[in-house]
Amino acid sequence: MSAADRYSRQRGLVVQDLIADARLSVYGTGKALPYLLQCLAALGFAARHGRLRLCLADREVLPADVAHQFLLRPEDVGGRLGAALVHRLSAVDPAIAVDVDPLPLDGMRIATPTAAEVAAIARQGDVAVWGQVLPLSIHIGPSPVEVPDDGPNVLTAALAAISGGLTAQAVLGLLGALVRGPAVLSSWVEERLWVSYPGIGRRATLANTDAPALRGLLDPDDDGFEIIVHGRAADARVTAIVDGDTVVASVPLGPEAVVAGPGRAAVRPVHREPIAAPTIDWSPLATGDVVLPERLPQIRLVMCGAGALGSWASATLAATPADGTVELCVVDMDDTIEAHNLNRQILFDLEDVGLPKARLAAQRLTGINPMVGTRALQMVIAPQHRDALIGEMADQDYISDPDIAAQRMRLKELRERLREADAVLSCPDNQQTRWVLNVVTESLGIPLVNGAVDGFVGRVHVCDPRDDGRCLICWLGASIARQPERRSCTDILGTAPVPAIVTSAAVVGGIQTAALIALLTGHAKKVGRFHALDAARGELTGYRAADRDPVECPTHLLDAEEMMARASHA
Amino acid sequence: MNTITFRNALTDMNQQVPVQAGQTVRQTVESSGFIAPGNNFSVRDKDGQIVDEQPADRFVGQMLSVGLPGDNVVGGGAVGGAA
Ligand SMILES: [Zn+2]
Repeated sequence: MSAADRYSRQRGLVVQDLIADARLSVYGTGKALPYLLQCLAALGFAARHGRLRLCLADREVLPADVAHQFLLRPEDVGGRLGAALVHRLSAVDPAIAVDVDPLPLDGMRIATPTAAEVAAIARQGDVAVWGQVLPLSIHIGPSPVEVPDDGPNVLTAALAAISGGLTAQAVLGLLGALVRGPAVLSSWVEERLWVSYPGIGRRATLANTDAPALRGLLDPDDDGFEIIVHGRAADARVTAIVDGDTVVASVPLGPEAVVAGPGRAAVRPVHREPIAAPTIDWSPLATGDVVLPERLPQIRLVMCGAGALGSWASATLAATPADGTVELCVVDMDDTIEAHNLNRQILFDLEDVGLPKARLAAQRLTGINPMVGTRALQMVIAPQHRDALIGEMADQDYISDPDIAAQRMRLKELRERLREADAVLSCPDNQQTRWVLNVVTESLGIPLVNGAVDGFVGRVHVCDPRDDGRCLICWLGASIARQPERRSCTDILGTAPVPAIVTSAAVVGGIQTAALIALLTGHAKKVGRFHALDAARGELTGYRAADRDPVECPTHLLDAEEMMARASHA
Repeated sequence: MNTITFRNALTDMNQQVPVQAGQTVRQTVESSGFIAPGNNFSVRDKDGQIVDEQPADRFVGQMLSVGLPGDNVVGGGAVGGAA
């Protein structure tokens, strides 16, 4: 597998060379550390000329180090901490250059401290960003907050993933590796490069010359992009305008292309200004006066989607210590793990490419925590399944087609799992599946915790009918019932791959789990019911938001259903 | 008078705003002061469609929801809807 495959989904969002060549020293052994390291490795940090240094006084791995996280494994306890972290990181990305030394490298320094480590690290000076995990919240910023060491609780793993993800995101900004504004989406169709970027087609029309240079149209002000073919800048010319936002360019290919084909080429941002670390303080709770248990109670969940969000949401849940069993039914339609999933789908690594996704996810989660009992269902959740999932499902004597019979069995099992579930985690890649899940959870009267992410923008909706929280249609409108478009690992937008990155997935998946745990430990009245991430701007904000409108909400569930029926008959 | 009712999706605050001839929905929100100047927003109709740049007079008498831009994010995992 080439590096190009592995990072193809983040190419429009970050400057990969700056990440691969970065020199970065990490202080502290706080709860966010393993999550930060997983994000850095998945991003491709120090995978070329760069180096990552863990500045820690090496010591033995303690049981507390392997709790609330899933990078280190229980069998690492008793070994050396530095060596264990290096070993586990190399499994995430074998190309990463990482070492352990109390003295920092020249270059950027960042910190993920425990409460006890803050003062000593601050004395060493010049920490560009701090990523902290507090009992009920996270803090990210150029200065630390002083906090008492209250010990971990049931939110710690989820908060640590959010803190680690946001810290890695801040590093991208500090490096100047962040492509702010819209991503450039490009892909090869035979010998031509298709490029989607807001306004590019309109600018090509206005250029009023034959075959204008692609580079000038991408960024007329500062030549911020270059077109690279086999490592060399190429002079791409626009030869066709598809629409206002999409053009087709022809690119002279060097002799290497004759051997390797045109695939290894990219539209690449050249340079961005570094931006200072933002200050972010966030909690899943809208009011802070709650006392949380240390461990999860016995819970039953259905999670739909084991991609970027699903893998982070479920892994942080599995990393949370539990008193009773956590029964998790994982539903995913994708067959197998692909190389380009690995830049963000943290449950999987290199040797998993080609293996079945839902089943392997379930296996990995039980590996993180034996208290997690999993069931994997490889299936699609589509509007036509709505009736079977909420109504009666008649027994049928005999179905001759084995595929249909198997599909029916899976549907029946999902229906049972939903009926037993305490809540549903919604992590799919399309609105129609979200709509079906919303109908089902509203009809069963159980909470739906929905996550969505595109590039650097993410949303979490906590829809709890028992708390008069808004349903997904209150939030998103009835039109989600007729939006089947998928935005995911297997799909493309127009002709170009959809951009996706680990930092947003860690943050949004972590928020889903944090909100879910707050709900299931009895804090529905205090949980933030809407969370908005704009990672490129360094913003994460939670809102309690207003209750559902008691007249509109039940009605629009029916409206959406009618609309759906009309659409399917059309 | 021809008005649109804007509702803040996060706070549930409502405001009836008169529609001026030739204004887009975005301009109507901006001139009403419903959203503090400099804040990003996006307006959707009851169905959930973004209507920022549409002529405001198309929505006279209706309630429109004012929220954050980017609320139409879709991605996440891989449970297909298009069977
Ligand atoms: Zn509703």
